[in-house]
Amino acid sequence: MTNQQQEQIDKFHSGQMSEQEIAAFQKQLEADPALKAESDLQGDVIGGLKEYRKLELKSRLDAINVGPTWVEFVQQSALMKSMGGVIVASIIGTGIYFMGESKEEIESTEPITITAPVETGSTDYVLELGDETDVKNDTELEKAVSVAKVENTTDQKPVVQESTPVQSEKLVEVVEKVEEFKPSFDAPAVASVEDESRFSGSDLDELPENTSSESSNEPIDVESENNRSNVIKYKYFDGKLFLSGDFNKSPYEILEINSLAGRRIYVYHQGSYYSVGMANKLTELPLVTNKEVIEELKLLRENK
Amino acid sequence: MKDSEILERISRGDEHMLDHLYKKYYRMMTKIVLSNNGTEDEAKDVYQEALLAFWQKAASGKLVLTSKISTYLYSICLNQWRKELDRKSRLSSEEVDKEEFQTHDAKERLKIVMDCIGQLGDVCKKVLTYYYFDGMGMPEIAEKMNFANTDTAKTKKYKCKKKLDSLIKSKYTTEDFFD
Repeated sequence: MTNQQQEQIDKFHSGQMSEQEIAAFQKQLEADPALKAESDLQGDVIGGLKEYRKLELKSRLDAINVGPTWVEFVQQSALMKSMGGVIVASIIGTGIYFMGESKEEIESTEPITITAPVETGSTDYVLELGDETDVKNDTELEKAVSVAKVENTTDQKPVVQESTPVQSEKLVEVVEKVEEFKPSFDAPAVASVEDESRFSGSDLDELPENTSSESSNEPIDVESENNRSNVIKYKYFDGKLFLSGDFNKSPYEILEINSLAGRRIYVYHQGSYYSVGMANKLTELPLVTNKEVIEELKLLRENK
Repeated sequence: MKDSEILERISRGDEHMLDHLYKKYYRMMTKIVLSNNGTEDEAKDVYQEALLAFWQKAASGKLVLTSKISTYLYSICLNQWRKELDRKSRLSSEEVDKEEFQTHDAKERLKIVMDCIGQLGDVCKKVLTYYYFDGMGMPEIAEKMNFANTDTAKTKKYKCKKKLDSLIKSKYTTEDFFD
């Protein structure tokens, strides 16, 4: 066995040969049994040396303590978990406490309730803003309030509007509908309404209860049919109002008043007011003749 | 400690880096096996094999690391465990018998070689294992073993290898050579 062959065997088993060198050496091994025997022996020897070193290093690694470090121990210990739980609970509790308080403050600003004394005693008025209500901006609110003040000076019976749940003795809701136009309301800024006496003398509760059975606060559903008849006919049942008449020249308006006594619906058309009662069949719309009621309806209509 | 620093120290044969890496990534790497139907021993074995494969590459200077060490180790562990699972599921009982026969023969020869290595002195053991397993060059071995120079390392390696071959040949029978 030459030194060159020994070097080749060494390189072959040490992985230091290129692919071409390996191929060439394998041919030599096939041709020379003695070389192959020596190569096999060296394979065992070098394999043994590698294994020996591997076992040595593995023994070294086995001796290493891979238990949790103090940081991991702190993280995993039951005590720290308990403390962590307490801390997290405290943070959440504190957060809920403060957030809950702030929420309460916000909510407290929402209800707008006015206690307005009337002749028969103090009364809370509430305006219910329907689904179609659109409170646009503060300017509009102020405008609405200013209109209310003007009306009070004329000693009329005011309507105070408010956007809170039903909490008052008198619930007044005014909904106007002019054919395709969706009714909208300007809610007055309650803070601006200072003089409560202005609301005294209102006798809206004395208005005729022609739809007392309809206590729903939802705006009524109105359908209309145009014809050339001078007589307006209607049908009203289950919150649905059907009108039939000549509305081409001038549109009709719906005035809806909600109070604890019930819902009252009026129709305004060409300077006249009509009262809407329950009617399953198409019936002629009755004209309102009571001057006091007419004045009240006029006031409401102008304050829309 | 940065990966580049770890690699540099491994290339000089600093075995403390092996300890450092082993501890640092033990849980991460063994979790691969443990979470895939492996036992604690299998997980440990796979991780040690992977780490030593990494060590061999890094110590020999053949490793060009393009990712983090942890990523490299993770991929080795994953592949090794896949191979092991594949081997377990693939082997039929006949193949197992054959493998066991071959393993037994190889084990016998390996035992002889290991015994002979054990009879060498510490310097010979280190020089030979550094060269064949760690893939260290003669300059690195000379530095690590505090030899005067590279030639001393070469001479030492040659003499130690001759001695080992001689020991092994004396233990091997003719049948062992030509099986």
